[in-house]
Amino acid sequence: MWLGLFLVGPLCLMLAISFRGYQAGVGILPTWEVGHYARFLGDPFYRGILWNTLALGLQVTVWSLVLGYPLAYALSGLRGVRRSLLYFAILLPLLTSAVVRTFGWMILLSNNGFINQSLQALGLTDAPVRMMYHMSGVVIALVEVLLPFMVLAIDAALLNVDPALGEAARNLGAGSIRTFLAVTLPLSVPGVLSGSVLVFTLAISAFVTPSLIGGPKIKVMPTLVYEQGVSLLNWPFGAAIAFVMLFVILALFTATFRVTNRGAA
Amino acid sequence: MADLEIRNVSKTYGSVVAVDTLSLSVESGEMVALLGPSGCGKTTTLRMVAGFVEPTAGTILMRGRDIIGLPPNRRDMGMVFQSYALFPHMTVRRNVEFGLRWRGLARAEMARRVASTLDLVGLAGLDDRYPRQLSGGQQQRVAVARVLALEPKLLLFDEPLSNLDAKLRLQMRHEIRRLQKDVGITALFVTHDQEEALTIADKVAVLNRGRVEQYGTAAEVYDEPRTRFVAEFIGTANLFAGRLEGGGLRPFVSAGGLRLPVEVAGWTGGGDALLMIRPEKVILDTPGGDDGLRGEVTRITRLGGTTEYAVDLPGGERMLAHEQNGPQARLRSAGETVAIGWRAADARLVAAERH
Amino acid sequence: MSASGAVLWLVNGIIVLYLLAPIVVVVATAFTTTAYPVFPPRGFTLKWFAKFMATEEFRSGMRLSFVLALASTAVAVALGTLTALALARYRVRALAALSAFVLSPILFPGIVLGLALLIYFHQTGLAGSFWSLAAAHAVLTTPFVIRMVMASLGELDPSLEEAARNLGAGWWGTFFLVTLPLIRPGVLAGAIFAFIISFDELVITLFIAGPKLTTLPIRIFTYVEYASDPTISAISTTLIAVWIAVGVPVYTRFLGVRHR
Repeated sequence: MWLGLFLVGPLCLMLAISFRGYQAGVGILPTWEVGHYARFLGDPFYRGILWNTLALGLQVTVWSLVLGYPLAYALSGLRGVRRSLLYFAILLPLLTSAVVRTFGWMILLSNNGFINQSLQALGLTDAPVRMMYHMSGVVIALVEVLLPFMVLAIDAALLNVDPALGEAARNLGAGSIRTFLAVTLPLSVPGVLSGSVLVFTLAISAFVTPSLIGGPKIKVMPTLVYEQGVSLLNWPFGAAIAFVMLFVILALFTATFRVTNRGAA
Repeated sequence: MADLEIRNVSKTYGSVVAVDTLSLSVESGEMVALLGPSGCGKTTTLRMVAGFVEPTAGTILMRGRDIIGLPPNRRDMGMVFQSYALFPHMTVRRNVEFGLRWRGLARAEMARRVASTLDLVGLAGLDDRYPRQLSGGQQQRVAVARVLALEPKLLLFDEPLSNLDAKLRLQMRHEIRRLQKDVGITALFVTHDQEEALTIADKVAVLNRGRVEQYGTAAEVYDEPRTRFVAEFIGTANLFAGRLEGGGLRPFVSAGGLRLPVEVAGWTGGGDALLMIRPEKVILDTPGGDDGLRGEVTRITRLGGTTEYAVDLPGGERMLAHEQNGPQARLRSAGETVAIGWRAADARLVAAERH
Repeated sequence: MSASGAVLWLVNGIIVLYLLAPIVVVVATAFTTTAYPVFPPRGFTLKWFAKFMATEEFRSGMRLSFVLALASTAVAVALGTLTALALARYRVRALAALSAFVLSPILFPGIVLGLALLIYFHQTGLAGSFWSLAAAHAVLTTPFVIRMVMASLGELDPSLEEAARNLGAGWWGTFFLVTLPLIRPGVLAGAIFAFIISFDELVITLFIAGPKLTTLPIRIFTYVEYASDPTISAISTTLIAVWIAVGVPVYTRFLGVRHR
């Protein structure tokens, strides 16, 4: 219905436009070409942005996994009021918009910010660590922004694990760490997978955080799309980049789907 | 003219036949039970009458008028659901009042009807309670009151007593029957509990696999079952396969070679038949003369007020006998030989199944 | 508590701190007396809030965002509720696929959708209008409404609607008197969700809002890009406070229903 109108329609149109010719200063030409895709994937500058984006996604995913798993593990073990409280604490960042949180990080990560001042006060560094306008800052902030998604996904998976399994393992003599590694961890993999895919997707599509914290020097695909599409009005090229991004995401989803379904069969 | 007439109604879902050319008619003021095991089509039939399911074929007439095309809200019937379906966000009064709104009645009239109906079901004074504050039995009554307030032409009950505990079921069973008789409304009652059907209804329709196997009074259905299914579904039955041969006192020869007494008059079914005798009609005696049937008691089960004996018969067949544990009763023991017999009039012939 | 348990709690404590850090920072810096946001803040003042209220750009941004969110929520609720009802009512065999499709806008990268809509609106002449922006927001938020309403519908006993019909109610009567009151929690939660999402929406709005439609998030974004003074903290703190005040009751009513 209307979804088709507003979602599928525009997408098809955009797909079509990505194949149109474009000339700076003139606008969209009535010609067809795959030049934009070629340009994006061929030109090392743009390829670099592609890798940059994927690398960002990967880093963010790994860190949110490392930090998110312990939190999810603790959360899944709680009940009642305590669980509600922790759940709320995890949910709270999602209630606040990304801009607000990113702004908070800008304050924290600046050269004179709290983090640098603390590090220097503790004697861990001599000069301020560059985080603002640097990829490291983007990673730190983006992980925080997306962490709740990972936690909630893993929590959901952990809740599905039958506690009797862990008890059986303990009963058979396994220590708590062994139990975790042999029983809980493997069974939580579906949640880990879905959380990772979600976080990765959101990380490579993130616009606000990379543009505010990264500044004009840090380029990822979302900011590039904005620049090309809105600032330079080079719609075809912007469209091409957007579709490359979509393609990556779709490929990821399909791969995950296949893996989980194979496991289930 | 019958109040409700179901004519050759069928309902199929893809390749599954839920109801198969079913015909039934209900006279005014009658309470008819639709009885059968789950999946027999009784609920589907009820829902077709109510208008929630459209028949694939056939027609349904109310007082001579075809109602197939009518939507459920215009059929002037009241349905009591298994879950009662009381509106949780409305008080008892608003629940009972609900249907009256669509009738264009004056406020005062609506209030009067609500009050008198609640009185009728014994819930006066509970107007302002919410369904969740009521007990199961009370909720049931509200469900009944809600439909009675509309004074519909037909009442439909969809296994309304299944969610109640045993004692309450018995009580509500009689309540519902009393109400139905007092008000004089025609009613259709779906149940899988045969005892319920036999107690509560004027006539019972025994359904199996989408068809009516027998339609008659409780006595007819119990004492004169027409098919094997009915004989076995209602109460317990001893069934002997065999044929009619010769005449005299024992015209039936069972598959095991036994000659058994049976009522032959009126039988049109042919030579091959099943002989049915209810366990409580079986007479056990100490073996006296020589021409009777003898058997060996193999299992004894106390069923509260009666004792059930499983008896092995010569020829390999076996049967059940029920004896009342009255003051004259003597408990038999396993392995004991007994004489078995019954009055010919108590045994009936039932159509043999075609395979 | 065992040693590994204690370690776990310590680690998690740090992680939670990390999680909440920016929020704490933003709220704290809203009160600082310094001319730029400093953490830890120095002094205490409410002047940034005053400045926020006094600045016309922020006020108009807030007004616009509010009205926009209201409009898009209204559309989302109407469309979403009807879709949820349709999905629940008709046992379509492709139900799983259909609901996945319907719920997909949640996962869609904002960038992609933003550019697509920008191009689309320009081609169809709808660019820069209030209602096309509201419609775009509605597309984004309707899936959430659908999710919430479907959750409520799942708990609804179908025989209730049948009973209403049996007692004489027509389609509209049944819907308004029986169905709607009973799914109200879901509709309400969906509406609040949709409102918050629309109000805070930035990326897509950046793409398609014309120069005349500057929502509050856009104002904040541009402001932060070029300057940063604690006024932003003040605005953010206000928003956080409001969202908590609104979000908590909704959340407590819908424990665990939010996730699949």
